[in-house]
Amino acid sequence: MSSPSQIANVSSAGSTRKRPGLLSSERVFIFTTLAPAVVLLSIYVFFPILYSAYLSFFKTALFTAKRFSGFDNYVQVFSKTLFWTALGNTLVYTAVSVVLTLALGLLAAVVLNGPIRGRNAYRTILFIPYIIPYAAYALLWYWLFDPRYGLINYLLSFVGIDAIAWLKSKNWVIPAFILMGLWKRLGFTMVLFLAGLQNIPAELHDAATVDGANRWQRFRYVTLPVLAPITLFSAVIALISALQIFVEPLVMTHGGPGDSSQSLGYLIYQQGFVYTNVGQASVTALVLCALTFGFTWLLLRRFDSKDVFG
Amino acid sequence: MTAAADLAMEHGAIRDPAWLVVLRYAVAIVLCLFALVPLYWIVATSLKPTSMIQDWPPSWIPSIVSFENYATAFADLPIARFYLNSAIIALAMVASNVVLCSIAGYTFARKNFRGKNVLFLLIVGSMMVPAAARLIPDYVVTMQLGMLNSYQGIVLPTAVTGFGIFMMRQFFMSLPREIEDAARIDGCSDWGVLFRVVIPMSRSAITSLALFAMAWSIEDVLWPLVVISDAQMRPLQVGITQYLTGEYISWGPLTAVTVLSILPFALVFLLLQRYFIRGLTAGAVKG
Repeated sequence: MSSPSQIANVSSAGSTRKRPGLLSSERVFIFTTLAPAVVLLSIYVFFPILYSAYLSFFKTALFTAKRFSGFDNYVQVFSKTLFWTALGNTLVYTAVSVVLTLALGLLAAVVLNGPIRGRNAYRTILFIPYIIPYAAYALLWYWLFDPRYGLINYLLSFVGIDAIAWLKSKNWVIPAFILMGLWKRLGFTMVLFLAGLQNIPAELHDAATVDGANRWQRFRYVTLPVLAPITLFSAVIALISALQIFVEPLVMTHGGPGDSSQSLGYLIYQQGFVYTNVGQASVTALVLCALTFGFTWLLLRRFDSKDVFG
Repeated sequence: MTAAADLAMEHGAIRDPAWLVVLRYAVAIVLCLFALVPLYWIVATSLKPTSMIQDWPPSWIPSIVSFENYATAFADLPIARFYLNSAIIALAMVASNVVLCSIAGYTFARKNFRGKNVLFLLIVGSMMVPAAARLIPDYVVTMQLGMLNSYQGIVLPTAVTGFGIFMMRQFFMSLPREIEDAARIDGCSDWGVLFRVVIPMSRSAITSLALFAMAWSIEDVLWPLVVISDAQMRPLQVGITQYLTGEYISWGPLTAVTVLSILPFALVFLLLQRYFIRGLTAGAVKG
């Protein structure tokens, strides 16, 4: 049985060859292929983080540091309940939405990898929400969730469910965000899983069938293990985008009602652009980065990092 | 029909029981309805005359089909110019991601050098930096480079992505190494192996990355909005913001612009999806 991870391990083991000279063509190759990526990422991704870390220790005026203030910004941010509410909301949203996105994405991929007429049409339809511009996405759902004129409550009325206030309700605003996020990202996750499923040689299933494995056993003991690397990859991507939730509160609720839909991403925006306190915004940004890093690290550690990092 | 033959081939002689077939269609249809109904709603709304948009109960099929909202959008905005901007931005984003992520991904998959793991972790880590945290410093950088109001200003921050490098590396690692070794024995250089052997085997992964990059180029609104102040330089999806003034939302033209902004990309997607859907790893020779 040759799972992708094993292939990967074999290939990286095979690459230890003689070290060529200093300016060998191989070194030039390595340098040339990596330089553009490293330069661009340094300018647009790594520098911003270092700059945020720097600004977090300063009183700021607009976008520049004014006066060193030690841990003042940190104390200011952490002493407000708003920060902890935003953190809690972000974590709840992330946990539920990652699990649902992965489960439904896998379900969609398994179904649409099977023999089904018009499967390309289904796959295309499921992917289209992913390319809806964020502003349009948020507005569209704002309208669908409208308590009086919205489509969702209209549909619910057919099954006898009373109108739900959705975005205007403290309890329903996060579930509403989860539902719409699922709508946008389901197709993307499905595509990742489909790619993994197509990597499973048919012989593997045939062999399992010959050995008397039933459908569920084949899924559980053949399909799922081969899908492990792509599942991990999908989980990391879903986690990263869920933790960043930002557009929904920005466009739809302004963090309300009350603070019930505050998120860390939106808090960064508010601190930076509404209260123009870039120092405090930087503190929140660093927290969000640390969370993202931490959770990703845990995921990779927990689920055999070899599959991902060869 | 070839599709039917395809299906028969893939699944050999084993017949699925009826309940499974029914279940499969049921799940596919429910999921597609979930995706489709909101999409349908955008299109239907964009075709309703303004007076009918907030009718209750809402009508599923507009009784009068009107292009009034499209006319309004075309009158308010330089749509042709916006299309041109969107197309240039999408092409640049796709080209740079495909080329830069592929070559970097290949090196991470196949080459060894000092600091490789640390560098790779950093690159994967770059995906984890929240967009909200990048917004202000990226704006400052773009301003310093004199790239406000330019295509480069919009494209460069996502011209290469940790996601793309990570994805291409995972894909290249699943390719059998023997083919590359054979090419090397035949006298191919590293570049020759990459461009004449590896890239041609990777059409599905590259198509996937290209379509993802295209999707990124149209889904983001905030960054182009911040970088571009010259109305002529805006991509189409930023045109949406024109119809958001305070509490009042002009649903008609707004949905019309949304439909206009995704339509060409949905068509490209339809044309390319047979590569795309084959998956990120279908190019691999079965081992």
